[in-house]
Amino acid sequence: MKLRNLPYIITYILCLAVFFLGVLFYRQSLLSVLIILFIVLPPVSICLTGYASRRLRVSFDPPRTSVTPGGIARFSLSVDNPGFIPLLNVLVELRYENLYYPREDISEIVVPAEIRTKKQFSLPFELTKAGMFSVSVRRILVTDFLHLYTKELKSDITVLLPVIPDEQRFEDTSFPKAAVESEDSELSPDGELINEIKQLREYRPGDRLKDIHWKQSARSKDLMVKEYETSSDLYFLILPELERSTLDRGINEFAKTAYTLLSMKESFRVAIWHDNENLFEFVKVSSRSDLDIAFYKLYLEPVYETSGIYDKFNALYPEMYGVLRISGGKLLLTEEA
Amino acid sequence: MKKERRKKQKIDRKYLKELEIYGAGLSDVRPLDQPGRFYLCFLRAILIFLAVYGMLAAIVTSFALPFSKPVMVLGIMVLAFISAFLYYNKITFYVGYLVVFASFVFFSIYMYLYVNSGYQAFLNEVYNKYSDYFRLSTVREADEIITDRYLTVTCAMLFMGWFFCILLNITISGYMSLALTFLVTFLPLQVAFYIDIIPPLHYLVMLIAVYITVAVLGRSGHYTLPYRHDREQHFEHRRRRKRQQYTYLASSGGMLTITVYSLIISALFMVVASSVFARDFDGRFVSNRVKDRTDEYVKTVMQGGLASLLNRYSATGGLAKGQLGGIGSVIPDYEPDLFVQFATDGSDSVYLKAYTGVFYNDVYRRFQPYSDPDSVKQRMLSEEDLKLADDSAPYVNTGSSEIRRMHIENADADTEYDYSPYYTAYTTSVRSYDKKSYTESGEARFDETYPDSFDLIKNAERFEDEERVLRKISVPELYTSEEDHYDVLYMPFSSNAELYPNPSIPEEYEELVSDVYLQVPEGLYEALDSFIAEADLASIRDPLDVAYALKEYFIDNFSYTMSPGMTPWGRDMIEYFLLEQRRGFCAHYAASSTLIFRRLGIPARYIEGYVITPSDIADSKALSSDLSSWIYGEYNEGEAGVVEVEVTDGSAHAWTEIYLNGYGWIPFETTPPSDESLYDGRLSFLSRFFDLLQQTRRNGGETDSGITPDIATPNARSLSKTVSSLSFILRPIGITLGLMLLVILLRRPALALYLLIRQSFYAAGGHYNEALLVEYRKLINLLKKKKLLTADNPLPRDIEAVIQKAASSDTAPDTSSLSGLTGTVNFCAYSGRELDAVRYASALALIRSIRKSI
Repeated sequence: MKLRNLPYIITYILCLAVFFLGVLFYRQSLLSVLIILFIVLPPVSICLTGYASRRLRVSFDPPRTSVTPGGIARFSLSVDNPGFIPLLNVLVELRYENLYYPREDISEIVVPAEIRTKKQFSLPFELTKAGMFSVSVRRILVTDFLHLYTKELKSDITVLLPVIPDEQRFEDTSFPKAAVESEDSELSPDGELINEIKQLREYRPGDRLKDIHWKQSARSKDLMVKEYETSSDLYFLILPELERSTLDRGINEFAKTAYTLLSMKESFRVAIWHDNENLFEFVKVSSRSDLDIAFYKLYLEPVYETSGIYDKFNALYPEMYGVLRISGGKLLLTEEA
Repeated sequence: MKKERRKKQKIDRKYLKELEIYGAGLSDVRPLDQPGRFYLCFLRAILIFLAVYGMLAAIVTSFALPFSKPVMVLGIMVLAFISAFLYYNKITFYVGYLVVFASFVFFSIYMYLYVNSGYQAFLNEVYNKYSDYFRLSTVREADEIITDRYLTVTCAMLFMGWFFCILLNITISGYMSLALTFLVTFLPLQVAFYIDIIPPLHYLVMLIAVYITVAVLGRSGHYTLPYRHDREQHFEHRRRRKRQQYTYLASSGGMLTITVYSLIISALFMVVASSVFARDFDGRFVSNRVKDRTDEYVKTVMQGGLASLLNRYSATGGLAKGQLGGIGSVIPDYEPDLFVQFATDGSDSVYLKAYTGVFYNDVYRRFQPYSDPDSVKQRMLSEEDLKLADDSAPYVNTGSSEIRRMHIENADADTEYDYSPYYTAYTTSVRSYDKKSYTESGEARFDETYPDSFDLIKNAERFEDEERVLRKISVPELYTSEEDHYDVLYMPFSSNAELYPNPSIPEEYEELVSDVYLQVPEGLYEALDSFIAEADLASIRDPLDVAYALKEYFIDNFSYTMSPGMTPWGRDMIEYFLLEQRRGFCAHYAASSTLIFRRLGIPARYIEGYVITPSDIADSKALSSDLSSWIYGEYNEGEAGVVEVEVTDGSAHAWTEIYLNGYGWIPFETTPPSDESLYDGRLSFLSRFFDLLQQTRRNGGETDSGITPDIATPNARSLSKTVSSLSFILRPIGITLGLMLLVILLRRPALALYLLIRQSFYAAGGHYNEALLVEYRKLINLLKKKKLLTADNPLPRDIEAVIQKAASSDTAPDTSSLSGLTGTVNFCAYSGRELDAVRYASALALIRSIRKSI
């Protein structure tokens, strides 16, 4: 039973009381029959609902195409009831938000689960701002026919959908390529972007602790150290620094830069700061789908009032130059910075 | 519409704001497959048809009226469909309603005579059935202009069907409101149910199915065909502070399923209930006070029509001046009518007599006084007779030598009468002087009647007003301005006083008494004789013994109430009270007693006035303990005091005086004590409630036989009566709850048995897939029972993990066996191929071993 059932329960009890008084004082057969019906119906309703809800399937599907700001993302909510007992009160409790603009309120979709039917509903979300759009279903409440009892079904559905700005380009712009040849350079998790792992070898005294490959060491029971191959290739590197006050412009500028580079058939890398892990991830982008992944990863990171990302980047890669820095909603070259 | 539009605009504004702030908003939620409008209207038409046809056919069948079933079914079906399809879209709604209404008016006018005759035919049958049920002496009759009932009743039903289709279309299609639907359909059925007529079961099934469907759909919210919304709107959007709710408006599949299931459930339920509880629901319930009271109203309506209810009035306390019947209830205002000062020891009630009813007029239902010109004319009384029959003459001699003085102030009582205690000798009231010429005869008559007492007064030096009293007697005009204040000298009468013959009664007075005070209207002979036989009073010789026997009979068989209800139209109040009503207030008892005494040859008269009870005296204001100017004669000084009592209209009373030959008139109380007076002020609401439920009689006039006679204590008896009176509902409820409890207790064993039978059946038939899945389900049930598995719909691999954790280490199956089992289960469930017997046997053995190990 939930708090939302309480008014219905009180109403039901009051009705029962009124009928009971009617029966006591007016002694009519049909009133007596109705009283018995009043008593029988709630358990029947609750049992049927409890039984039918076991077979209920609720799914939530995102749209297959990416969405741009101002567009509509049509999600699909499916309620499948394979049994013979209808569930008229299925409440899907969902929370949707752009992660950059969190909101507190909850939306409830009350739909019927008709028997032997998979009922589908379209949930069109109008998205006006770029960012990571998130829809999550934490619980599904199935209420019985008389609203006296509600069964809560837990759910862990979360769907993330990046809202990526429209394609746009800089006209007649040439970007510098960045280069990193420092021994201190960090590797991305896949190790392929800036400096690649040449091989793993046994630990020798003098090796840096941070180069130890702990997982492999655990497996082989010897300390293994990553040996890097220094890359001397030049490439484009975009460093997006998103700040609250210029968030829209910053995302747009980043998108514009990326689209321009893609239109030039250039692959590039995006340095994304992972705040929790305290490291930069360098995402290689050579196609539109790579860019979507980059956006996806970028949007998952929090946005701050004032970004200190460039300082962190500088501290980690002091000899880096030629970085395409997106800061204050504008594209800056590191030389300019 | 404006409201809808404003609401939408408001929602739109908020939505735009939301988009601006949060960058995301849920716009128009809709189903992928559009609901069929036709289908939805069709289903609602079915509901309306079931409700209207079920109700009308139930009523008409209950009263055995003939009608054409095919015409009715077809007609109401068409009307229901027309009504339901009014909600198809905006045009049908706004234009269709006008057309339907105009057609309805046209039909009503064109078919007026048929419809009206059908309605009157229905009323006549209702009157007849009610008359039989209540055994009413008079029956109303409505005028049927067209006498072919088959035709007229069908027309009237179509007319009512049309009306109810429109009404129920609003309650069902518009609001899906159970309360409104119930009121519209159930109240008309009360005409039959009230007198325990149960219509054929299938009509009730229709109605109950509609109630269930409407309740379920109404609460779900998926019933609203969006006829006034935007065409593309399929969800109702409600915006609350932290929540937004989108409710799907119309579920055609849900409506169909619920309608069908409701019909099945109500049919099953009604069949079971009517067979199992037939004995309890046979309409022979123990009655109760509330029902009896309602019966009175119903009877009044049946006899006098609805207008007769308006004639009912409730009277405040005070004198009714012999008027009987017509009073539904007495509601005193409890404002003081009299202020009475007198000396008393508070042990006995003091009756203040005011009005004497002599002749009972059964036309006007009134005990008329002598002074009424009709009485004089009717009885042809001479002037001498009138003088002789004065109501102050002569009372019983109690042998007391005590004289008391009472001071009476009339605050709000009827000023037409004096209020004098038994037995008043003197009064200083100016009305008395005017009427009785005390100046001429008062002193002499008092002296004659009570020679010793009067001497006492005359010689009493302590009586400070002696001179003034005597002056009043001789010079009354001096006091004409004090008509609301007067003194009375009286000889107190006690109900247990010894009676002595009164030698001063003239012989001609006794002759007059037997001439006048034995009058009984001939129309009441039968009723009175019947009652006298019932109470076995005729065999008692002594008048006082008769009086006491009557009083006992009233106490045992009648009840006191201030709200007995009005005497039905055309019935005599005395006859109705004695033979049927058997409950009433003092006027009912006093008037009936008077006529019963007269019928038994005991002269009697009907008296009205006020009674001051010991409890009134206890609540009174003590004035003085100095009795010197209030009591003359022998008395016990220590026990008495002078008090002032506020006599309210609640103390107004009626009683009887009977005449004992050679002794005189004696007041006699036959009114039983009020049940209400037995209530302690602190008595709980619950006690009063259960008292209301206690039985008075069974329908059909049977006496109660449900009381266990050997229960000694009043509380136990009361409880026994209450339980007995409620057995008709307690038994069905008890049985129902018991069955439900049984189902709960036997749920698991029954499920286990069911699974066992199913598995054996499948295994025997070579359906190893199903047989293994049943066994596997048993395993899941066991895990759930032991709270090891909480997910509602676990996957086999989840179950595998749980088993690995749960099984004890020594008996647990190894990992590969478990994986194999999971594979086998998946094979059975999804492969579409049949498991062979060997794999089945090994998997079965494994599942069983797992079950044992958990």
